Amino acid sequence: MKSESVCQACGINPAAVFINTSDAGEKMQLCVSCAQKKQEESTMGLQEFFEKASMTILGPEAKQKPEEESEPKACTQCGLTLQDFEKLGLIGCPTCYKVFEQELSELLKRIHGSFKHIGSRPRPRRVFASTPDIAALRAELHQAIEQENFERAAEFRDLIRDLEREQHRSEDSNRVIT
Amino acid sequence: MKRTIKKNPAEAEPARQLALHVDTVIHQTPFWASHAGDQDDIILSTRIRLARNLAGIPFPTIARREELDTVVERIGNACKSIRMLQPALTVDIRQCKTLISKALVERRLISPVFAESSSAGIAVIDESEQLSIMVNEEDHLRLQSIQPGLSLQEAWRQISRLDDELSEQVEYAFSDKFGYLTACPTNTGTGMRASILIHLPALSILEQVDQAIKELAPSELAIRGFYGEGTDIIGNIYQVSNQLTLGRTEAAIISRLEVIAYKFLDLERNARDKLLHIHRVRLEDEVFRALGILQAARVLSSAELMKHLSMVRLGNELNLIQEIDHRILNELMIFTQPAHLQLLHENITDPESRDVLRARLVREKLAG
Ligand SMILES: [Zn+2]
Ligand SMILES: [Zn+2]
Repeated sequence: MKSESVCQACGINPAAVFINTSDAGEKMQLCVSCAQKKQEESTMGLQEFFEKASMTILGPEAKQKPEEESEPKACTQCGLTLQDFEKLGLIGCPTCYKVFEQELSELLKRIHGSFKHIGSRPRPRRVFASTPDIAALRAELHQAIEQENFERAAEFRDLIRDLEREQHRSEDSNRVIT
Repeated sequence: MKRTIKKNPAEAEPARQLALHVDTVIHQTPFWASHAGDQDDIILSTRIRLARNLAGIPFPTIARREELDTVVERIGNACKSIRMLQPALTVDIRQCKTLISKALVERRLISPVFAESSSAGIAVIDESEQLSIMVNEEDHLRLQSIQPGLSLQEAWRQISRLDDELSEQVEYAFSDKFGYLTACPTNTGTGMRASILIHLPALSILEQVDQAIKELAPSELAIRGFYGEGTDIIGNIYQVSNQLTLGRTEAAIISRLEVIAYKFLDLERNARDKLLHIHRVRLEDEVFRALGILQAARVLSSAELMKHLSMVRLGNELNLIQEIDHRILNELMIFTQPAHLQLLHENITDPESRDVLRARLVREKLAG
């Protein structure tokens, strides 16, 4: 599984923009703010910039394909491609979430600040979120550290922190949600 | 409104049962408008909606006709055995008369987009309009609960129960990682949008609404007009709702919205106090002018009514004018909307006659 890319300029933020920096085909993955800076520095016009920068809400994946691979990745159930999604603004079917799991994880994280659901579940598995499985996440965190996949580890760390915060909040407010 | 909004005898006898049911709903005052609720001097209503989809079927925007039919059939059948939905009105959105679907939009029971849908879809609405379901809008299912005043807990209790009952009969598209899978990624996760309709006339008189919104609404919340996305602010009524649906529990989303609601309540109450004690003449002038116009006008547009109704409601809450039943003010808002006027009264064909009729209804209701 591919870990989330980090901006090559600042090394901090997740990369959101994939840019061809030269005609020789050099590529850079940048976060939005670094990409903006780069654009300001650049002598290119705005339009040229956006043509060169494959700015897509789905991150670099969509445009990273080698050219000989003519068929873009499509959902096995509904046939939606990432290009369709960008045009439509909507996901095609439940299976799309599996086929484009990586891309959607990145997108969802950008929208919601998280890609992990911790809310309620359909019956009969419905449990209320005061008991999300933090232990399982901790195990994944340790695994990521062992594999020296620190980006992923950082994500799990943040997620666990958010979860614990949520728990305290729900306990504090002591809501009658059962 | 029983006296002024009578059934049109010409329309009372259509053969189909569907039309009769719709008629009942269009004539009645919805639960949220006829019942008292917590903080209902400032908060008109609370709404929670959940977006859900059936497993294994493409989302409505790209689904084939047979697939849409399947969704309608499965949900329609499931609804029949759910007690909370007995009795219910089921509206086939393709066969529904334009005026009726517009009236359902005016009641916030269906969305404007759904009202104009030409593909297979139904709306299921419970007797009291507390619960409603849109089938094949942007998602296979949009469940909604509307409650009076500030009642996020009650709205959640009800919608959650309906959701549970449905999920026992149909299999939802759900993933452990992403939660409830929805057509738009902005709904993924809980699929929940919780919102309140809040009336801020005092802050508006003091020109402090923008400031309050800037201070109170963190980026996680959205502030919109009465009918939701992309609509204008009318009658100093604002819709405040959560934006983010993933990585938070429903309880946390609700708590956060509730906290912000209480902050708005504080600000509005302070502003009302300030008007009462420091700018009383100005306040009374606004309130009585508005009442005077509503009691005297012969032509009244929707926007003008809402504007003055806001001041009359304020005067009513602050006991400046002779008490008017809350319910009457709510009913004036509902039954004077364009589609309602046209449906419930004969010979209303153009906007001008609508405005004349609206003025007459308001005069009758607010006669001094
Ligand atoms: Zn950067
Ligand atoms: Zn798909």
